[in-house]
Amino acid sequence: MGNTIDNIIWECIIKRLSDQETPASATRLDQWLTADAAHRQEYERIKEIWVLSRHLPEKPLGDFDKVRAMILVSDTTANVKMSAHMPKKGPVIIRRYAVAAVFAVALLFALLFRNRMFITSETGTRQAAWTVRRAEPGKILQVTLPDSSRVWLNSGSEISYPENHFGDSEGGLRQVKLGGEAFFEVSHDAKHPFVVSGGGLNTTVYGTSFNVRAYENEQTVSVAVKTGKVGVRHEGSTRPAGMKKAQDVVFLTPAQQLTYNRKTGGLIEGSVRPEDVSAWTAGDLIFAQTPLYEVFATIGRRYGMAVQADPVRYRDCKLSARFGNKPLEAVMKTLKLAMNVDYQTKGQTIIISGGTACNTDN
Amino acid sequence: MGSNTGLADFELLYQRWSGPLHHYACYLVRDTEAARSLVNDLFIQLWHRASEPENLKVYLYRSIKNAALNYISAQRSKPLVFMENEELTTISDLSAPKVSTGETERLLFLQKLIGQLPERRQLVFRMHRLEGFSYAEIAELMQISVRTVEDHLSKSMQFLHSHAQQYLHAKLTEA
Repeated sequence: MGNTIDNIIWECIIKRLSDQETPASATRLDQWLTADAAHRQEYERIKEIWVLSRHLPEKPLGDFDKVRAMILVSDTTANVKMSAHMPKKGPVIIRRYAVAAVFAVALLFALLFRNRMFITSETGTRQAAWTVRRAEPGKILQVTLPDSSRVWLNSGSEISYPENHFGDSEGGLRQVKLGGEAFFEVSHDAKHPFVVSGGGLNTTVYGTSFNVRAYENEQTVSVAVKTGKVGVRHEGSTRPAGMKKAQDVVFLTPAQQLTYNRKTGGLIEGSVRPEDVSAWTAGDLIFAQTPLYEVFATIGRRYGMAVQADPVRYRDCKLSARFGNKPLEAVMKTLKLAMNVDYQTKGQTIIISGGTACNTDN
Repeated sequence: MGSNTGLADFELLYQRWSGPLHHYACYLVRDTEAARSLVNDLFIQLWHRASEPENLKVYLYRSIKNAALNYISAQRSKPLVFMENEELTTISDLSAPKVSTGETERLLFLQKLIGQLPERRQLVFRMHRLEGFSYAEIAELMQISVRTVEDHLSKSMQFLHSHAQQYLHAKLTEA
């Protein structure tokens, strides 16, 4: 189909359609129109598209439930009558998170024991209907769950959840299984606890943002909280060391992190900067006393490369460092300087060697 | 603003403006999720205003622009561009029209086509055709020249026109 209308004619057409005509462009266009019936026909088609586009439906963002929830929470907290004379309110944002946290604590106590049986047993889970989302090495994926909660999946991580029955299971749980690392921003819903299972830990929230790291190849599993309050339970029957006898659940608040050692079964509570909790979603790499072998594995996943490194040799020395969103070469260069390791890239593989500073008891 | 409008009406406002504002915010901050937060926060802010703004459209766009600029200057480093947001493929949302009239189908098709335009061009087209902004207004909001606005519009129409023809032909051969 010959569709070669001159650029200049196109400009004249647009001018006419958008009421921006000049005498010169009008004349030009009219000349073109009278020259050939086919031109007039094409003009009509173009005009049709132009007019049709005015009637296009707006697709909204789709977050109104979340916005509504925020508005209602802040309204009830403030307990203020809205009127035209009301002065502009203060820090609503702080208040809305505070209320969310209060809900979480109050209801967590009530519901946790009721839900205990369900969380620990796998029976009745409709596995067949679970959706799986996976972030390949080198990629960071963001997923929106049926309840509008958002999940950032780190490289080499995957989650699964019952897409059609989210929040429908016994106890009204919103269930998510995790392998790897993910940062969660959970929509507030006091009636439906949000439970993440991964690495032997179950983390329960009602509406918060937190990070779970449970990579198969790593010795530790960690949960860190950015906002709100989070309850963490161990999946198995034996209570891990570090969990007090009276409690079955450890509560974490913002800036707190729980680290569970798979091998020893130990639980350690530590602190973390809230902004660091989700720093990886922006491409940052943060290592805090991380065994070097895990550092290499993380780097491999992050950049989509395979890693060849002796696990025993690099098991004991630990790295604490932070890298911004940098290319692989920059990161490896710094590692070379800091830990005296040598590296080579062959195709899609990083080969690590050296590391004279890496002895046991470092 | 709250008592006068009521949540139901407010939701209508949200349905009308959140989409276009999000497109615009994405253009400014180059980050889908940050843009989403900016838009949602703006609506919460709007709800809590003592009185309704004189010109809502102007208020919304100006506020988003300010919020976006503040966000940008607060960022220390550029975010990773690797994020894929599967949910954002609007095409899948539109693929099941409720009423299958000729008009609706054509609109849906046009909607899909527009979605294929490059980002900046698409935004110019939307702002002009859907939001009714003038060339000058678009130029100011997007920090480009009026000439560029016109050029984007022209190229958009060229694209739509050439692809719409394919559809028209295909339609004739379909059952």
